[in-house]
Amino acid sequence: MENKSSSSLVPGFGLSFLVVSILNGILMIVKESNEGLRKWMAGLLGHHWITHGVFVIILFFVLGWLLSRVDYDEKWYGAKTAVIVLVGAVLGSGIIVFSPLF
Amino acid sequence: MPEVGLLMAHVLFGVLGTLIAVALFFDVLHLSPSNIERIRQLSLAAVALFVLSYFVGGYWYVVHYAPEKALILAGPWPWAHNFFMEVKEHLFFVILLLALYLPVLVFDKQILEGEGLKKITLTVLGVMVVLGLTMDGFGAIIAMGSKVATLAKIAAPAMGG
Repeated sequence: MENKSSSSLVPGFGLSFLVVSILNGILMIVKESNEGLRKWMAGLLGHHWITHGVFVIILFFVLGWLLSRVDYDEKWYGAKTAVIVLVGAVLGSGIIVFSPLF
Repeated sequence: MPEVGLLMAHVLFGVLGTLIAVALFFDVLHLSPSNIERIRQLSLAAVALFVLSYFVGGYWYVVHYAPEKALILAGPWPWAHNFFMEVKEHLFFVILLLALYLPVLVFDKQILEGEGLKKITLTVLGVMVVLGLTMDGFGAIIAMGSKVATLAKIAAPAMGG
């Protein structure tokens, strides 16, 4: 029981990474195209990038903790979560790299 | 020029973190009860190095980068900031999140049971290495953008510009 509870952090934080990595890219695009949001974020913690970073890191931990409450079947403790991490990294990085096109 | 020391520390921490990720990748490939403790200690070192790189680089970016940004934008390689710095400052969060995820995997009690967690750990480390090298390359291009802008500024009066 203790092992199972500890291991649910693996898919929970893997899924959290997927969501936050994509949101990180989307927030970058929205922030760059919306001067009001950029100024609001800069006003909140002194610089838009600091607010962006704090938001991303806190969201990763909160979402990871919440998603770790879910019961996952065996598939989530191997290839499935590995693919989720890879997709999160490729999509998150891709959105950022191709952001000048948006 | 203490800010130059900060910038070099940012690069040093990032490169060391990436090198540890490379070492960890091969250690995890040969995962066994004999190297699991080293893997766990190295994963904590990787987290510490990427977090340090984030704080030192972030402090330098927020406090000291503005004059260099203006210099790069006025120079022959404005895209060194417009593309490479803009991408780098946000891509860094992806590698940071993966570094923070790493201990969740290697400290799991079931990591030595089966291949599942090993596959996820290798994926995380592989992506960290690729992104770490990308960050390093982008940093070099930004530094070069600053250098060519400085050279252009120095050469302009001599060239009659």
